[in-house]
Amino acid sequence: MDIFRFNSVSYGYTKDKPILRDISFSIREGRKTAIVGANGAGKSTILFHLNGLYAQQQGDIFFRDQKLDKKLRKELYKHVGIVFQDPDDQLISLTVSDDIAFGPLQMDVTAEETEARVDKYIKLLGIDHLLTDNPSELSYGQKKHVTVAGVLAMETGVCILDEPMAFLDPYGKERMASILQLLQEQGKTVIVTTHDMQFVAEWAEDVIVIHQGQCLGTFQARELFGRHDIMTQAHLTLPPIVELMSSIWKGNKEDMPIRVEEAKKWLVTKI
Amino acid sequence: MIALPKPRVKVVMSLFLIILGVLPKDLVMIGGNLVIGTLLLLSYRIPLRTFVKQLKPIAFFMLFTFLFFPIYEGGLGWIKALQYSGRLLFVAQVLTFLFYRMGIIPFLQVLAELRLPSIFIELIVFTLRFMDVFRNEVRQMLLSLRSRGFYAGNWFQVKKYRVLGGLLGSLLLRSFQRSERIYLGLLSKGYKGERRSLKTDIVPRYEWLHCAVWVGCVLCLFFVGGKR
Repeated sequence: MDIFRFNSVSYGYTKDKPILRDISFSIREGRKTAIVGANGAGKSTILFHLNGLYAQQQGDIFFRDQKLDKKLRKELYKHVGIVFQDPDDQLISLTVSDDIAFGPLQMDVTAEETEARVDKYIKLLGIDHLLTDNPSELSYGQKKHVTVAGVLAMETGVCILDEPMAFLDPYGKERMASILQLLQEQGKTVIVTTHDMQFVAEWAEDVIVIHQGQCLGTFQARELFGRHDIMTQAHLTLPPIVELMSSIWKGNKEDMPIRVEEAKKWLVTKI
Repeated sequence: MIALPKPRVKVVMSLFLIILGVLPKDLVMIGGNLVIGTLLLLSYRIPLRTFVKQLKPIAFFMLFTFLFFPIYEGGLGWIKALQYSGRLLFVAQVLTFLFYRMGIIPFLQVLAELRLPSIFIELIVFTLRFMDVFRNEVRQMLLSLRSRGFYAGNWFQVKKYRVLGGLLGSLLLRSFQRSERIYLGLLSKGYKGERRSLKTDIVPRYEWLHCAVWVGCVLCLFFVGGKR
């Protein structure tokens, strides 16, 4: 079932410079979806539409087959949590615990339940030692974890993360990957935007390619890496593993390993 | 040593003390308030350095009253300067007591519990948050300038003022854009103009004795002084 459907949606910050142009695509429920595209392609603008922060200027957006009107858009935050690209844009309270509790309290979750959620997610993200700190005094990685904890605490069915891996150190990336995995295991629909094509290969089930405000199609990662025309048009590059395997793989392209573990296994059998 | 009362008692008590403390004009009464204020600090063993720290920002205003009033009002100016400075000093004593071992968060929490309109609390929170944003933007922009060889060492160069003027313009623009994004961040979590509080501190009734005793002392002095 489609959780989101964009039907000829257009949006622009100014009239003469549209960001989204007559864009149509769907996002399936319970799937791990990556939205990829070059800088300025319109990825973040799409995410803001998914959370109801922006209202389309033309076309229709459907959430679980319900057309997004003004009323539903205002209630969308109860179903869709979004983590912004820059955590400084989303930290709004003066302590970490208050910031994480902000979302659930806005959703009328009781104080006891909110406290339990704060406790659960700060432990999950390994930031329990920062509970009383001022978020603006934390490092970038710590801020990112606080914003993720804040959105997880809302326990929405859909989780959107705008460039979750950007500027994180390897340990932070590993932790973020495990959180994304956990969300998937909880049956949530997870949508991320990213430039990291290796991450797309490892994680995504569906990949939506955006180029200059238009959708070039929805693919499976393996399928996308075989479509050189799409990759070139969207200014995307192949991940290192796919690049390497393409030069040595002799068999059927559809069976070619694209993930690190798959490639490692295959190489071990060959050496 | 008496244990410090709960934040809610502290806030209510300080509010009353400040209101009663700024009313009298009689120097003897102001002096009496200062004695009560000193006893307040001593009873709760609030370190002197905490009070001195609190004095720093008001010292300038006190100095100003002693310079301004004698010139402006002549002979009686000294009395007026003493009145204003005495009141200010008492308020500083009460504020030292109020914010001793109590941060801004519990303070705002208490204001919310006391049903202060949320718009005021929101204004304080967002002002503080915006100050953080502004400070970070300044830091980043100055770093960016320095990374490209700009040093504001000599302040007497027109060229540098031009650069710093441009910096101020873009700083305002950047801070505005950032605040717009923060507003989107608030909306994304369902913000509707009211911040909800996580904890409500329960205050035992006997805690209000602190309030009754100290406010009672100042109130007695106020009425006794009024009759005198």
